[in-house]
Amino acid sequence: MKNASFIILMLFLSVSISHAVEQCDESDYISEKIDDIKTDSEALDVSDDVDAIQWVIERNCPDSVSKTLKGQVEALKREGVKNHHEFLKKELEYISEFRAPEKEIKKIREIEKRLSDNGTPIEEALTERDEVRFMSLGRNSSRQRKESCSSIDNRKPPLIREDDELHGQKNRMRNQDSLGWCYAFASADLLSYELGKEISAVDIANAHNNGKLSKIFLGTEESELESGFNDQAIEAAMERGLCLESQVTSDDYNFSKSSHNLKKELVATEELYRLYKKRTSNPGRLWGRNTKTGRELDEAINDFYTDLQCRKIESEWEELFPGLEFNELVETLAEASSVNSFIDGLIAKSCKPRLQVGEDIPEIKINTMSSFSIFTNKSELLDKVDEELEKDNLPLVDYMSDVLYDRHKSDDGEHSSAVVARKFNEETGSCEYLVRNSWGTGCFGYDRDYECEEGNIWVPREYLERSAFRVTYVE
Amino acid sequence: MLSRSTVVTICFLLCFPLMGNETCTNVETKHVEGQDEKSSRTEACVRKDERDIYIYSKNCKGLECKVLKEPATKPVSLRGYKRSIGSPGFKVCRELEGSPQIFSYKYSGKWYKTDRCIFEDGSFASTNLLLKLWDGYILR
Repeated sequence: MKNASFIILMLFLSVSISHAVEQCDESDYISEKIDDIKTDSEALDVSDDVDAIQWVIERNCPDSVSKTLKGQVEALKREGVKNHHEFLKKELEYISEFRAPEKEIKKIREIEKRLSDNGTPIEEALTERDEVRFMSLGRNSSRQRKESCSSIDNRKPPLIREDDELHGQKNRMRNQDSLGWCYAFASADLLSYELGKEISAVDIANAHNNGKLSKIFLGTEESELESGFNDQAIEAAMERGLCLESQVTSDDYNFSKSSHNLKKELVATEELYRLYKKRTSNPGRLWGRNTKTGRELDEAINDFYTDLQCRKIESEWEELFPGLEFNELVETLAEASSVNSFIDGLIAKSCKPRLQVGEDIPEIKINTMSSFSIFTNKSELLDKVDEELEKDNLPLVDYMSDVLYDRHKSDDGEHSSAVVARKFNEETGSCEYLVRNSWGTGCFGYDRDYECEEGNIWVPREYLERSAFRVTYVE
Repeated sequence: MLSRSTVVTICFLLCFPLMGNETCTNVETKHVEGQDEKSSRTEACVRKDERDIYIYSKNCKGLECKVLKEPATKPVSLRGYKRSIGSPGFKVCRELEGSPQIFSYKYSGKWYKTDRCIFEDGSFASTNLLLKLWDGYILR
């Protein structure tokens, strides 16, 4: 779709725009936004984004460059429309494997009319013959897929509330804040579902993080460790025993005091250890610090704990570890040899007693299927999701989260969520899967074509399949 | 001829044709101090549309408070965050120099859980509202 004239236009715009933008306030933002629009314009209609950046340009650039810059960016709008036309025509073949591409054809015709009204030549308009062919293929595909897309809803407590008239929301959604622990939240969903108890996501992340080389050898702190694998996390957590949300809190409304949130709580708790160390040691002669001794140490420790009890030092640890007593915190500070061992110690003390396999909970065996394997394609991944839902299980899907913002995208943002339900959408002819996200209860920001329920998103198979790359399930 | 700021304000208000009426009231909220659950009250406004429910502090009634007016004057870049990591609402809140938190509030007799962004001047808004207002001005 990148023809020579488009490439030349992009080169011209790159040079002339970068010179003009330098004269604007918010030049970094404007420059990056225009770069994004340029990239998107290769396949998407960027009209809304162009309108938005023109607004920003008007407010932040001198009049002398504003008009020129806006005009140059306008060219991206025209190119985006043309390229989107080409992109949608290519999409027709893919979409018709799932459903009738009615929306795509309607959009293609709208673009063709728009271009025609503007006197812009259309390189290859969609023929009537192709339209009929794709619609027929699509309807057929949809009919076949409907047979294997019966309605299933595996949501049950503690993932939802039942018969609770006090709440305006049925779903009990989770929020991972800005920590890279989506895998831990998804894994906690699976274990909570299996066991009927709300399992702590923070504890699962900690179990998984304890096996990471960067934590072991580089001392990377808990709040900086990101990403993981569902199966490894679940296995690590099961091996040492599970912890409840009531013991180590991940995201509940416990944080509604002042402006606390999970990341802030965790970082503040890590900082608490550093402050303790600083106050109970002196700078070394050449480097490092030496722990105080004798009376000096006793006084430093007493002063520290007095300040902590009198709230002169922030006490976020109480919100992360609600069951922990003050003397247990004191013990853990004294025992710890590093920030990480302090956090590990707090979690260990809070999680007593852990739910042990064989004694308190049954063994849960986990398996995975990945499209990176030459034996598995993406369609088989979604077939596996179907199979697990039909067995009353909760499959976890790893996918590119780009697809949540824009159904046409599937190449960025590795993420993991539980799939909790399935239905056939009679209006669109698509089989849809309910993705239980861990980004809270809000619905704004997701692709407007997706139905959203309190932060759960119904993603059509054709888009989920394209973005998925791994499924984790109970064996 | 209408001034530019008047046009902006009109356009802004027209962005929410489907949001329904704004209801401002005293809402009950829950939080935990130490190990005790406590409740308090705060003045807030609530709006609903076909997709979501939004809550914001009463001083932002009509979306007229400083922190919510004219998103274009403070566009948001989420580039510093990895795409995969975390709630976009929390990220946008931090980029707008607010503090995000999860909280529960009672509206029309029922409890709702959401996440809100608290700003330095004490104003707050649910992060889904921030995502809506800044839609188009966010660099992902």
